[in-house]
Amino acid sequence: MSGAVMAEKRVFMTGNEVVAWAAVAARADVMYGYPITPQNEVMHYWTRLAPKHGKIFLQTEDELSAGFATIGGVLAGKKCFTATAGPGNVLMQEPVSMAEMMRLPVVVVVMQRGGPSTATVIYSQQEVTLTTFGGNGEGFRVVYSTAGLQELYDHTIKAFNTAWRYRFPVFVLADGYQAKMREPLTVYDPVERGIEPVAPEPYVGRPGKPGADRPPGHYRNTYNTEEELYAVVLEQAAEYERVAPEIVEHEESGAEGAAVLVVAHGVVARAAKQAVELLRAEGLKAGYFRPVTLRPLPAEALRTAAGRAGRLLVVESAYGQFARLVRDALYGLTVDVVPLYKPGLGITAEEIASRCRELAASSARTE
Amino acid sequence: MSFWVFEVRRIRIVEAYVGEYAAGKSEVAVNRALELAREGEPATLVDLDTVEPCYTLRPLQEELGAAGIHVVAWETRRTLGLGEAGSVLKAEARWALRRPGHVVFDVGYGVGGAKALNLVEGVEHERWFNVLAVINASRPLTATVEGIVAHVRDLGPVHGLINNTHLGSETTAAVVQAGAALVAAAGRSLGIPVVATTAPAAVAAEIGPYDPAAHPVRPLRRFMPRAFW
Amino acid sequence: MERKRSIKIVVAGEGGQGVQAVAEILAEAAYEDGAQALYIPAFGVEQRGGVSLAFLQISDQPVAAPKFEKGDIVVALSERAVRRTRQYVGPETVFIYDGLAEIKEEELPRTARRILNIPAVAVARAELHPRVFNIVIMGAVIGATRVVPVDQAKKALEKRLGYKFEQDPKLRELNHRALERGVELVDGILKGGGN
Repeated sequence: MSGAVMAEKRVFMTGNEVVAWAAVAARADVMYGYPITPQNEVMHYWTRLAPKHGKIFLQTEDELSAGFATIGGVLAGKKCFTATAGPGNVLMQEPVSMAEMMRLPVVVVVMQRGGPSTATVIYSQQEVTLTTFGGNGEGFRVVYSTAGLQELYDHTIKAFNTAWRYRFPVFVLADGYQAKMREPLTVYDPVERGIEPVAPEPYVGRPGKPGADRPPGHYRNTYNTEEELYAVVLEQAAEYERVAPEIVEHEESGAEGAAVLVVAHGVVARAAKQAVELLRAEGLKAGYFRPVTLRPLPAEALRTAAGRAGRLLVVESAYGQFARLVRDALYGLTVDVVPLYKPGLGITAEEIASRCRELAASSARTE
Repeated sequence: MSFWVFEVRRIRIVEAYVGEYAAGKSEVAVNRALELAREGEPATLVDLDTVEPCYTLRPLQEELGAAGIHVVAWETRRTLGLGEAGSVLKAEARWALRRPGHVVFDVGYGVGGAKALNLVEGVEHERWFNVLAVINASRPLTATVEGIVAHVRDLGPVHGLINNTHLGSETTAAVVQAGAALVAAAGRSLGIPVVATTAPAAVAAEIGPYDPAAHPVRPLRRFMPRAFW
Repeated sequence: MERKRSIKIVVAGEGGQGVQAVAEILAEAAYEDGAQALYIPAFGVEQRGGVSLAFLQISDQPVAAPKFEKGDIVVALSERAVRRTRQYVGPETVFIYDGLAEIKEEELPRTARRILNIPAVAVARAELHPRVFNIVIMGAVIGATRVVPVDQAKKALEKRLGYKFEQDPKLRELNHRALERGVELVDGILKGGGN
C-alpha cells in the first residue's frame, strides 16, 4: 500500500476527473478502458496520473474486452476498474454477468447518456434497468447513484472497498451532467480519514499446491446441471441478502406527514432536495426520499417513509425505470405513486416544485 | 510650414485562449470579447472547440450578438446531431482572421492546445496574434508551479498567462491571490509574462485594479453557468 | 393393451451410447400412436462424452411440464448415469440398468420398486451388433411399460433410420430383432420373477 496519495484539499474539478482521482486515492492499480462519450475524460485523467502514481492503463478493443480484462486483472490480484456509458454499458453487462457468477470484485463507473442505442452523448437516467438488473442473472450487484462531485469522489472510493469486501460487482452510476460539470469538492486520502482500503488478493496463481497446501481456487461461471446452478444461485442470494443491510444507503427528510414525498435518485435528487426546501419555505408539507444505493434498494426505509406520506412523486430522467424499482419495493402499500418522467432531459428544482404545488392543490380540491 | 500628423492606428487584437479542460478558457474568452466590443470596434468570438462544439457558446449566441459580438459557432439545429462523433469545423471559423476588428478564439476542450490554431487560415501572417494560457491553480494538475510549467510547455507556443484561479461559487480573494502567486512563479520559470488575473466581478472589486503580484485584474461576468458545461 | 394414464421415463448414459435416439424414437412412436409426447434432452457442457439424459413423458393428456420429480421408468447405462438419475427414482420407479456397466451394488437405488438388470450390451454383442444395444434398451422400456405397440416403434425406427435401411436391408432386420429382444428380456425377468 502506497503512502499518502494526496493532501486533503479543496479543488475545482470536472466529474470524470474526480473519478480518476478517487480511483488513485482508493489505491486502484489498473484501469481498462474503451472510449465512449461522456466518460472519456476518466481515461484521459487516469492516463495523466498513471505515470506519477505507478498505475497501469490499457485501452482494449471494446467494452466486452475492457470488462473481461478487468476480471483478468482482478484474478491476478490487482485492484481494477473500468468506466463506460450507454451502448458500452450494454456490452459491459456480459463481463459483469461473469463477475456476478464467479463472485469477483469489479468496479464499473457508468456515466449515463441518452438511450436506447446511440441516442445522445449527453445525459439521462435511462441506464437504471441496465445497471441494476442488466446481466443475464439475478442482479446480485451493488449500484451507487451519486448526486454530485463530492459524492462521486466519496463513492468511487467506497465502491472499491464494497467490491473487495463483499465480492459482488459494484457500479458507480452517475451521468453525463455529473461527468462534465465543474464544482468545488474536497479531495482527500481515505487512509488519512481512517478508511482502510481493503487489500486485493490474487485468486489464481497463489503459492502452494492446490488441494494439498491450500484449497484450490475454483471460480466457475458454468455448471453442468440445473440442480447445481440452483444451489449456487440460492447460496449467492442468501449471501447478498445477508450483507444488503450493511451496504444499503439512503437520504430522506420530512417524510412524516408530507403531503407529497418526492422520490428521486442521482443528480435529479439534488433538484428534488432543493424543490422540497423551496416548498417547505412556502408552507407546503413536502418531503424527500433519495435511495443512494439502487441495488440493494433501501426498501424498508422507503416503505416506512411512503407509509407516512400522502402521496409519492417519483421523478426521473427516464420513462419509469426508477419508478419500477420503487413500486416493486412498495408492493402492498396503497399510497398513490405519481410519475414525473423526463427521459434524457435534465430536471430543475422549479419543475419539481411546480408539480408538487399542482398535486397539493388538486388534493385540496378533492378534500 | 509642415504639419506632422500622427495617426494613431488602433492595434487589432487577435487572441487565442488555450488551456486545460475546464480551466476557464470560454469564460475568459467571452468576457474578453465583451470588453473589446464595448470599445466600439467590431469584435468576433470564435468557438474553436473541435471536440465539444456548440456546448459552451450555443446558449449565449443571441445575448452576445446583442452586445455587439459576432459569434462564430454552430447553432445546434444546424449540426448533424452526432454529438462529438461528427463535428465539422465551421467554415467561418477557418476564415475568421479575414474579419475586420478584434478576433478572440476560444480553443475549447484543451487537449490540442495551440495546435488547433493550425486550422485557422492566415495565422502565420497575423502580426499581433497572442496565445494566452488560462490557468486555474485550484485544478490539481495545475496546482503547483511545476505542474503549471509542465502543462504550459505542452500547449505549444504561448505568449502570456492568465491567472483564472477560482473555486466556482466558493471563490474568494484569497483563493485568487494564492493562484496569482503560483502563476507568477510559473511565468518567471517559463519566461512568459502573466497578462492578467481574472476573477468574478465581486471578488475583482475586492482585490482592486491590480493583484498583489501586480497583474491587472479583469473582472468577469459569469456566463458559463448558463452554458452547457 | 391398456396404456397407463401417463408415463414418465428417464433414460441416461454416457454421451455416444444413443440415449437421445431412444427417447426421440419412442416419442415419435407415441405421437404417431395418437398419444401426447414431450421429450427434453439434458447434457453436460462437455464437447464429447459427459452424461446424457433424456426426459420423456407419454400421456393421453397434454403434458404440463417438461421436468418431473420421479420417473416411472429410469434407465441408467453407466455408473455416472446411476448417480445422476438417483434423484428421479422413487418408491414407484422401475429402475433398469445394464449389468455390464460395472455398477456397484451399493450404487443402485434401493428405494426403487423394482431393479432390473437388462444385459443389453451382452445380448447385442452376442446376437446382434454392439451398435444396436440402445435399441435393445428401447425394447426393454417398451416391455416394461407397454407405452407404445412394438409395431408403432418399428414405424418410428423406419422414419428415422429408413434411409440407412434402404442401403442395407439387413440393418432393418437387425434393429427389429434388437427391439424384440429387449421386450423379451424384460418379459423374461418380470414373468420369470428374476432380480
